[in-house]
This record gives sequence, structure tokens and C-alpha cells, in this order.
Amino acid sequence: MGISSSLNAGVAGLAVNAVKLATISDNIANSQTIGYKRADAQFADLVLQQQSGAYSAGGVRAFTFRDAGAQGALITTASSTDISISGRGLLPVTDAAGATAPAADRELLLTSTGSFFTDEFGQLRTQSGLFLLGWPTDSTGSVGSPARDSGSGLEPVRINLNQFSAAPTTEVRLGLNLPASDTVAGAPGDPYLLPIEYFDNLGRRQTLSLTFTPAVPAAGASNQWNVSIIDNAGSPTTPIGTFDVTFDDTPATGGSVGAVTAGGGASYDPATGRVTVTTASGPLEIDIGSPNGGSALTQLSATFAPLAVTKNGAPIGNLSTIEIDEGGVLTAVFDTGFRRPLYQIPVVDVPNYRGLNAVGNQAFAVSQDSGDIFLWDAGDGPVGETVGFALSESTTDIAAELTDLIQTQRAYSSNAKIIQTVDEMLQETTNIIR
Amino acid sequence: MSISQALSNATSGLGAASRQAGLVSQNIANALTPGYARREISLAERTVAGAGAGVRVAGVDRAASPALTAERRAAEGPAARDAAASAAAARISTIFGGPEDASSFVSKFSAFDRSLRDLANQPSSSAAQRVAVASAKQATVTINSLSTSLQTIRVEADRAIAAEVSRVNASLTAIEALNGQIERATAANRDASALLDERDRAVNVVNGAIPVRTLARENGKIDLITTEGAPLLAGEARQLSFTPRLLITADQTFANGALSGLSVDGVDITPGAGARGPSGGSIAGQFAVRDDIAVGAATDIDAFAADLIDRFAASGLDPSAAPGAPGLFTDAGAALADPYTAGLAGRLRVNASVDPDQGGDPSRLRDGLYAAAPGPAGSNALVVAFIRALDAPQAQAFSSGRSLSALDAAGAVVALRGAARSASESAAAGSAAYRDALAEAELGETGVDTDAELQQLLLVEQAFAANARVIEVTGRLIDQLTEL
Repeated sequence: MGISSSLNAGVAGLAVNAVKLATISDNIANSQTIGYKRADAQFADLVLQQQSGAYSAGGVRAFTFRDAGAQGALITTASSTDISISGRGLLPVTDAAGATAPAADRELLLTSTGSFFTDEFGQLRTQSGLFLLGWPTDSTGSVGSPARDSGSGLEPVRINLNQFSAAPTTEVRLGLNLPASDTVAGAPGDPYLLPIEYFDNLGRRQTLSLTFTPAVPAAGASNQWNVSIIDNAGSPTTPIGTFDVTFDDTPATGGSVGAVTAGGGASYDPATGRVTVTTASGPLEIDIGSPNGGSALTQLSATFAPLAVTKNGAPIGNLSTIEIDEGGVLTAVFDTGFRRPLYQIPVVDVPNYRGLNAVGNQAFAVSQDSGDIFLWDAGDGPVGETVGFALSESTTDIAAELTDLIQTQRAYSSNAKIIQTVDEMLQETTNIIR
Repeated sequence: MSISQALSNATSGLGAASRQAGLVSQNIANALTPGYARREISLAERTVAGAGAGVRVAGVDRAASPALTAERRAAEGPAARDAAASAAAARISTIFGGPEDASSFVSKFSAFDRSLRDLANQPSSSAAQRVAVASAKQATVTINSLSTSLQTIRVEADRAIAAEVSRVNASLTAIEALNGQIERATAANRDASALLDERDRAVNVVNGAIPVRTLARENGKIDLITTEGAPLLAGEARQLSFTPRLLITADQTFANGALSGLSVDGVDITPGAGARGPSGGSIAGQFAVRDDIAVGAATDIDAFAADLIDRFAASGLDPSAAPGAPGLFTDAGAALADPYTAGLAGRLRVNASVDPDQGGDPSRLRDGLYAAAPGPAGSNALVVAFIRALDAPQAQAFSSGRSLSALDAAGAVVALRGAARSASESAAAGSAAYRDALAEAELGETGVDTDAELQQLLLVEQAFAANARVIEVTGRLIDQLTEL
């Protein structure tokens, strides 16, 4: 019957607008929650079987969903472990139970951003109890080839804040000038000493003592120096290598290395310009430069000047900060300037973001509707880059929500008016038989 | 939401402006701090995932002028050396005194000269005899004390070297520690300006004592090498070693091995001795005082004493004396040896035979130093011979070939000290003026200009107000929304 279907449609209208109001209130309540994805209600009409000449109102029903694929604006923060994603994709996390469970029982959750910190067990987690997952790297910084269609290779990120690490020195570049006047006949022939610090395999500071002795000829200039290298970690008297350098004095390449004769444990490769010696902690390359080029070691008529003696390696250092780069690599920065990758954080992509189940704490669980996950390297494929020092804001737009609120209020009162009108009409009908 | 973006941008602007204000205030507060280098903030656009998101402080730039600093440090070496040398020359010249100064060496010697002439006029007067002997003794005591004072100056120079060496060692250790702190600050992207100031001050201390060159190393560290090529800091600080002595006698020199040289990790860097010895710096200056300036003055006064002994020991001058017997003046009671040992001026004595304090008799000045019995009371022959010996022109080691009487020789010794003083003072004034000019230029490049800072502060104030205004307007926009 027409009039009672109107009443039903009015009641259905009240109900769906109440649902809409609930999503609006939730959105406004979470307008400052980082990583919050707004909930929305969409309405659909219901059509009853119609007979010609009559109309029954079918009413309306509401579908609610959460727009997990929407991007919140990124805001910067002062913490290097505030991580978010600039674009499509979500970060893999797990809950407190998953952080201690074996990989097979761990529930994979997804979130768009997180303000992570290291807890008392060294695990990176948020205040709301989400633990960041990542692939651990080996000593060379590689993650190998983990499974990308499941979270089975992921582990909770654990950082030993008080760990030490060091990098041994393998290369020294000998950018120095030897005074040309010392190889001229009549020069005193005093040797020059140069200590060079290097770091051994255990991060200890060791010293190579280089002695540069000029060859003083009876007449003219020899342009020749003998270099002997003593490793203070080994024998204090026996050199680990010696080499004789004769410097070029031709017009174009004057002053650079001419010929090198290595001996006593040292070898010289003219192609790379490096002298290789073996210290107590393994081979060490000393870059002096190739013949007839702009070599590092020079002999010009200036003073003894070790201006550009550089080396790689770092002494033992304390962990000072953790950083994440745009490729998702979580790097430990030590206070001696040395960096080491610890984990790679993948970015998870699913075909249908609206199909994800919201599980609270701005986290989502994979469902049948969402489709299968795929773990991308950040910045690769369709997914965005990971961004440190940044959080993703709530996707709620207050202005839009308030506008919706007004519309919902109007719609609600209109539906109430329908009910009131139907009631008055039914009153008229009952008044007929009085 | 773009309104919240506007808020976040304005907040970053407020942060940058307040950081700038902080830096300006620090610059102004340190406008008079020696060794403080001006800081400037460097701002950059903040981007998050490629989009602009306000402003950020990219870093703090510390004003530096490496070329001027290197030049000023190079000028510091000669200035410090000349200052030490001229201070010692001035002190030695003061000890020797001038002819107008009653207690000076020349006055005492000319008093002795006068008393001999008085005695020649009244040889019988026992008072005149005693006065002559007493003034001779006074002259020798003055010469003795000159010799002692010169050795004291050498001991003090030796101690000054030891003090400088321990300051340099402490500074090198401090620079090594600061290198580590600067490395950590650089690695963590923190502002290391205060540490750099501190390290520059420590390098200045080392450079004043031993001129050095700084060599830049990785992560903001530096190594130090002396300008002559001896490494002082190569990753690790190397220590200078020097052994001071409590007492130095005239015959002890660095050349004969009695005094310590300077070395770093076994490499000899004694100034003026080896190829690696620094030519400038206060340590080189003190070495010059110990081994050269004071020794030169002591050699001259020794030569004067030798000349004096020699004049009275000529054979035949005193008939009572056997050949080779000591004359009126002696080397600690004995005749002059040839060659004599250094420090003769300190051992110069009046012959005991005329000294009443040592059982001698002043009348022997008239009768002969070794006379067994008194001679004729009116005879002044020996006294006149003594006066002739004093007046006779003789060549001395310090008189550059001229022959001088004893009194003129005393004047020449003093004049030499005065000349050395004025020469070293003018050298010191010249090198200090050059150093000061460079230091002034360096300060102009790296120091704080308070006018410019206050101008900067006005700009900061405007930027801060503008950002605050953005926040105010954004707040009103949100109000508008809630009033819907």
C-alpha cells in the first residue's frame, strides 16, 4: 500500500542518514589522527515490484567503506623514525602478539604511516602497538631475494642501540709533495717521516710510519726517493714494504711519478697507480698515482706537504641515529660517520584498497576482497617512496565533513517530515469514521 | 588539507626565524670574544616527497678565511721568536747598565781606575791603598754577578722552553680530542662551530710556540705538521720531549751535549740545530736566548775578564812576581790558563796578597804583590806601571779588531749589549706589526660586525611577524568553518 511504503521509506531515510552521521562524526573525531583513512557512506535506492498505476516507495540503504587508498598530506617532524609513504602503498607492520610469534603465525597488518621508536627490547614500534616489519640485510647490505607475494620473509625490526661497529682501512691515497731541492747534489739528505693512521679489522687505531729518503747524487739531480713503510702493529724495525720512486722532469708531466720499483713485500701496479702492502690486518692499497699523469705523489720545488692524505675506514663508533632512505633501506649511522644498512622495509600493494579490513590503530588487515599482497621495493613499480622525518595526516577534510553534516541534517529532517506527514494523513483517514 | 599545510609552513617559518634570532644574539654576545668566528644561518626550502613544505635550516655557516688565517699563522712564528729574543736582549742590556748608572759594571770599573790614579798621587796613604783594593774587589764582584745573571737568564729560558713544550703537548692532546668531537658532530649533522673555534684557539697556541701548517682530513679533522716538515699530529697527537735543567753553568751548552734539545717522537727538531728545527715561534726564541744571545754576552764579559787578568800579568810589570805568577786579578786565585774555560767572569778575583780579608796587605799595591817586606813609602813606580797597563791599547775578541784601553773595552762591552737590544727590538716591532696587520684583516673577514647583525635582526623580526600573521589568519579561517 502506497501510504505505508512512504512511512517505511521515511524510516529507512532516517536510518541511512544516521549511518552517514556516524561516519562524519568518526571522521571529525579522527581529523588529527595520523594515518587515519576517512570512512564514507554511500546510499543506494531500493525498488519494489511496481504495478501499473500504483507506486510503492522502496526506501534507501547505505554502504559504508573506508578509503584506505587515499593519500593524506605529509607533514614533517623532527624524528628520523617517523616514516610515511609518498604515494600508493602501505607499510608492513604487526601487532604485539605478532612481534614475538614465529613467522608462520605472525599476522601481517598494513598501515600508511607511523611514528616509530625503539622500545626496551630494541624493536621499532608505535605507541599504539604496531611493530615495523622489514627484511634484514647481510653484512654487505643485501637482502637477497625474499618472497614478495607473502610476508614470510619479514621480521620485526630490532635495533641494538648500544652496538659498536667499525670499518677497516683498505685504501690510502698519498696526496703529498716531496721537496725537489732535496734530491739535488749537495742536499743534506735528511729523511722525512710521515705517520699515517689506519683502522685494523677490530677498529683499533694503528699507524703506518712512512720514511721518505732522498737519493743525493754526486752531481745534478737524482729526483729519486726511497719510501719505506713500517707497520707499528707488526715489527717496529722491519718494513712491510719499500719502493723507490723516480720522478719525471720532462716538460709536460714534470713532478709526477715516473718509475716505481717496489720490493720487500710491496708490489706496484702501474695501471692503477697503487702500491699494495700487507699489514697485520690484511692487504692495504696505497694510491700514489700512475706514471706520466697527474699523480697523487709529486716532487716539486716546494716544501714537504702531506696536504691530501686520505683513507677509507672508520674507527669503532657508537650508534647515533637510524635513518630511512627513499628506497626503504633502514640505515644505522654511527658517531664516527660510518653508515651500515640494517633492514629494508618493503611497500605493500594490494589491488583493492577499499577491500582492506580496518582493525584499529589505523591498521588494516588483508581480506578476500582486497586481493593478494605484493611486496615492492619502495619507489619501484606503482608504489611510492618511503619518507623519513614525515607523517601522513588524516585524510579528513573538515570543510567537506561540515558541509556533509549540514546536508545530512537537512536530509534527516526532511525524512522526519515525511513520517510526520504520513502520520497526519493516517489521522485524517481514522477521523472519517468518527 | 591545505589549511593545515598553511599552518605547518608558518610554523616552520617561525622556527627558522627564531633560530636566526638565536644566532644573531650569539654573534652579538661574542662580538668581543677572541677567536670567535661569525656564524650565519643558511636556509633552504623544505620538501617532503618532492613537494614544498615550508622552510628548513640547512645548516650554520661559520665565517672562515683560510688563506688569511694561514698567512697570519705564518707571521705569528717570527713575531713570537723576536718577542722572546728582544725581551732577553733588553734584560741583558739592563743588567749591564750604562755609564751613568752608579751601580753598573762600567761605573764600578771606572771607580777602580780612579782609585788607582789617586793612589799614584799619594802612594804612602794607607787609606788610598785600601780604597784601591776595595774598589778593585767591587769591580770583580759586579763582573761576577753579571756572569751569574747571564746564567740565570739561560736557566729561565730553559724553563720557559719546558713550559711551552708542556703547553704544546696539552694543546695537541686537546686538538686530537676536538678532532674526534668534530667528527661525531659532522657525522650527526650537528653544528660544530663552537668546537671549531675551540680547536682554532688550540692550534694558535701550538703555532705560537712552533709554527705549523694545518692539513684538512676527512670528516672535518685536521693534522698538524711543522713548516719544516715534522708531523705533530697525524690522527694521534705526538708528544714533544724536552728535559729542563735546574742549574746551568757557563760551560754547559747544547753543542757539547750538556743541555737538552727538542724532539718529537724521536725526531730531532731542535731549533737552529737540524734540518727539521723550527725557525720561528716562541720555543725557537727561547732556544736562541739559551744557546746564543745569553752565551754571546757571557763570552764577551769572559773576554773582558781575560783581557783584564792579562794586563796585570805581563812579565816584568811587577818585579816581585815570578814569571807566570797571577797578577792583581786572578782566575779564582790562579793565573790565566790558555785557553781559559768559559765562565771566567764568574771566577774573577782580586789577588789574595792585597786583600786584607784574606790575610793580604793593601800596601803591596805599592810595594809589589809578592814583596816580602815594605818598600819605600813614597814610591809610586808600581802603581804608575799598573795604570799604564790599564791604559795600554790591546785587541779584544769583541772589539772587532780595534785596540782599546781597559776602560774603553768595558764601555765597548756595554755598547754591544745596547746595540743588540735596539736591533732585536726593532726586529720584534717589525714582525709584530706585520702579524697585527694580518690579524686585523682576519678579524675583518671572520669577526662580528654588530651593525650588520642588528640589521639582520630587523629582518628576522619582520619575518617572524609575517609568519605569526599567517597563523592568525589560518586560525580565523578555521573559526569560519566551525561557525557554519
